[in-house]
Amino acid sequence: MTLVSAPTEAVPISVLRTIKLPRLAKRHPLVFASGGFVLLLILLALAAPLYAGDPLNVDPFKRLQPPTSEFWFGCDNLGRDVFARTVFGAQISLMVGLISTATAALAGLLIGIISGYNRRLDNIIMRIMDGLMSIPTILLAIALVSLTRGGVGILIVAITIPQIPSVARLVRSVVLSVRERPYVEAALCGGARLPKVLWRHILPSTIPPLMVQSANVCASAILVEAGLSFLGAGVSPEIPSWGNMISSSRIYLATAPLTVFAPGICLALTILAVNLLGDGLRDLFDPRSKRRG
Amino acid sequence: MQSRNAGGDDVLLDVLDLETHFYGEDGVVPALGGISFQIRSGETLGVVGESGCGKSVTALSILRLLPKLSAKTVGGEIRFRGRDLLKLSEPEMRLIRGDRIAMIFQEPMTSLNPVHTVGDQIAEAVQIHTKASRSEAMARAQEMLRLVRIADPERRVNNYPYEMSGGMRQRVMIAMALACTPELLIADEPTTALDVTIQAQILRLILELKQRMGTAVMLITHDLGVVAETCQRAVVMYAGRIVEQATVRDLFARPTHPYTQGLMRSAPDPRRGRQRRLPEIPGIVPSLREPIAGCSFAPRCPYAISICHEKTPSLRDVGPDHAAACWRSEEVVGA
Amino acid sequence: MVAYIIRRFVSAITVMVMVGVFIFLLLRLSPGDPAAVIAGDSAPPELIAGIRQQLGLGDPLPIQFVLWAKSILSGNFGTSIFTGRPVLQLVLQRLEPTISLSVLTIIFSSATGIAFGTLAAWRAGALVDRALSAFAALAFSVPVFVVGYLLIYCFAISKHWLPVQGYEPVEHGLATWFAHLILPTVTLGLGYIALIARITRASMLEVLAEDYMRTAAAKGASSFSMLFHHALKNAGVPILTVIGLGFAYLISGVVITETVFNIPGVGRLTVDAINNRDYPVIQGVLILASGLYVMINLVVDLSYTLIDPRIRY
Repeated sequence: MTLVSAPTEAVPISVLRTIKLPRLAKRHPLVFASGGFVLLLILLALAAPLYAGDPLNVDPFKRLQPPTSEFWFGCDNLGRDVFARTVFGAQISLMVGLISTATAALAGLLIGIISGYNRRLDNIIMRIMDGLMSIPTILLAIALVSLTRGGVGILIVAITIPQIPSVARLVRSVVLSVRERPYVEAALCGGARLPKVLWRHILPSTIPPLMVQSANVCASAILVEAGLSFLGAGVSPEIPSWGNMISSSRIYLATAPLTVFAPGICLALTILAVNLLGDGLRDLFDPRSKRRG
Repeated sequence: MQSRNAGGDDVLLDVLDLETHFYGEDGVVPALGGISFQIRSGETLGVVGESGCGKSVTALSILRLLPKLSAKTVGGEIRFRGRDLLKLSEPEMRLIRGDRIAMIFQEPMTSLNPVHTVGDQIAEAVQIHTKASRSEAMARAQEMLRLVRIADPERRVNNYPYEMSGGMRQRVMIAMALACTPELLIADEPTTALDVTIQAQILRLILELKQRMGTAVMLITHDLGVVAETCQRAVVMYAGRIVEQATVRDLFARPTHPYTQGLMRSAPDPRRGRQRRLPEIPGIVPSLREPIAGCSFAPRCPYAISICHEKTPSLRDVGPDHAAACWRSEEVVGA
Repeated sequence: MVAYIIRRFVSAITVMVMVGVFIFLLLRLSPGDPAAVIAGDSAPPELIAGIRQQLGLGDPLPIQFVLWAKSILSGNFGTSIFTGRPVLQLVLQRLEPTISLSVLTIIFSSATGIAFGTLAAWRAGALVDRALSAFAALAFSVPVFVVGYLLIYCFAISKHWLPVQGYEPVEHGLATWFAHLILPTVTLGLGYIALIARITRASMLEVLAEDYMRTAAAKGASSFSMLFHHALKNAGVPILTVIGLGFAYLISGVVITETVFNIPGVGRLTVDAINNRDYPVIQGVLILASGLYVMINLVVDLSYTLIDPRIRY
């Protein structure tokens, strides 16, 4: 579910071209810092095999061992390295989050443009989206996963589908506002073909709000993935994901709190960074929203 | 310097060198550049000027209702019955607002709360300042609606603002302002937003109730005709300063500031019937953002000489109870 | 007015039909035999054949849908594979803890969120406002289970102030009932508070700049009366809307919170159903939760007239 609204007004795409890194850091420290943090996370997750130990190695003698210089976050109930598992867990969270976001954004873009351009289909599509939005995200994903035999692919589909309506609605509203603009009417009256008008005039206007919304979707997708894993409906329990780690370690909360809090805090920081990136992008594209809050 | 009217105990409000600044994105704007005037008990003072000259800011400064983040009164005194309002605490100030000094705003369409009935809104003023019970306050609200000549007040107290016309809403505003019989009523362009046919009625109503309650009125307007009909004395403002003040009779007989003269020439005169074209004052009101050297009216003034562009004139007496801020008032008044 | 209520009802029913179609298609279009999914992993072939008969799987999809919708509308949500009991009965048995938690959370979150948002708008730009904005961003981002375990660790394990987990029914005493619900309510409510506070702040900022707020000040109204008597009711429509929309967030959160705090409610029922691959239960909860969400938003829409007299449909 999306709780932060993205700007629905069209913002010229040229905003994107004029962004220079040093100026970005000075004018929009939030975008710079949170964007940088997300990039750093992705790099750390990708490079995990280079510096972290084996996340799957079981050693009963190290069971619930407190942090040492070798095992920074200690070991879990099976004696596995919590630091290594946390770092490899980032791979799952980020991969599922990014792929779901990209899929939801593309699907939402397509549906939104069709809906914004064809009045007859619009009515049907929007009713379907209303219905989809009325089903609580996690329950819908649970139902999708439990119907099939699991697997990361199904998980991504299950996380993506509930995110599509918010993107589709946003894109639709932008298309509806842009198509009334004089330059679009002029292009159409001048005999330009519809696909060309969509590509040249309408698509660019949807990109800034779509970027903001994608950040929101991404945060939501990471959250849902972790929630599903936590509930036992996510990736299979052997794979180190943050939700799985918390789920399997929660009964040791009193004796080895770090086994729960290490993945938990990483998860919270990641979602916070993505959310702040979204807020920052919204302020960047629509400066008035800053004052409005 | 202008002689301060040492009227003593009948001075209700004594404003001294009031300075208010606005803080915008592009710096500090001195919206009021040190203004001084008095209002005596029971009199009607007109405050005249073009929009943006600081009339409303003066009213909001007196009641200390300026927007907190963007404006501040930085200097001067506002003596109300001898007490400086600027030195009061916020709770002390609340006791004065609505009870001893009340205000009517320009926009009746947006100045009433849309989600409460008009009866509730009038009764609220009564309940804040008296120990009246709710039913007593509602009875007073009904009585006030009758007083401002709203037909069928028993039914109208339960109306919401959206169920009323602009003229009726302004009557409600007047009822609300006068519910606690204040000593001073500040009316900020009370008729500007209304239909021409309603304007005279509302004005007459304010004057009649003022007579009955013995309330002094500070009437803010851009219309010299209104001042002529309703006020005893008048203050003419330009670019955040007072340029002339006098009794209304004197002001119209001997306008001593070129700006006042310009205003009078550009006002339609009902006695002369329809005129073909009203003369305008050339130029525009100066931006207060850049500091003005000399008299702020000089760029538009037909009498301006070199000193006018260099030094700011202060108010000087030009007759009994008549002062003007002009280097060349002697020549101007004779013209 | 009546016309509006009818129109709003019709659109709510349309949405419910869409939800129904979607949930129906979920089972029919997924890989595998729907009858086998409903019967469970270790069901004998005769049972599967019986269910196939009952669902009319040989019939065309629209007829299957009508059959399915009819049984749902008559209160038949199917039978749990694991316990063999009707799904509706299972849900009703688990309702008390879930309702206790949800109602407490809505009350707590609305009160806190509105208070925070109002305070932030009143002191816009000041330190309090910034602190509350930061809190909202954080509360929005920390997953429910992370908050839950942090709170358990701080208040139940390190300090033994509150029970670690579990639920006590109301008839065991109001005090123990409440004590067991404090941590779950705060856990579930944090994100909801952030959501409500953000909308309240934005809506109040707009209202505070209105002319009638200056009129109220000119009457001598106190800050408290200005904020809560004059402003809040005007800012109410968007706040109420977000409380209704946020209910979907609440339902997802309930499932996780009940797992964290080991509360035997409908959420736990769902999670147990995942582990037992008990699809009829999951489907029943899905339909009921969506129906509740649509109904709550219908009520929210209709209640706008209560807070804003100008709204006349």
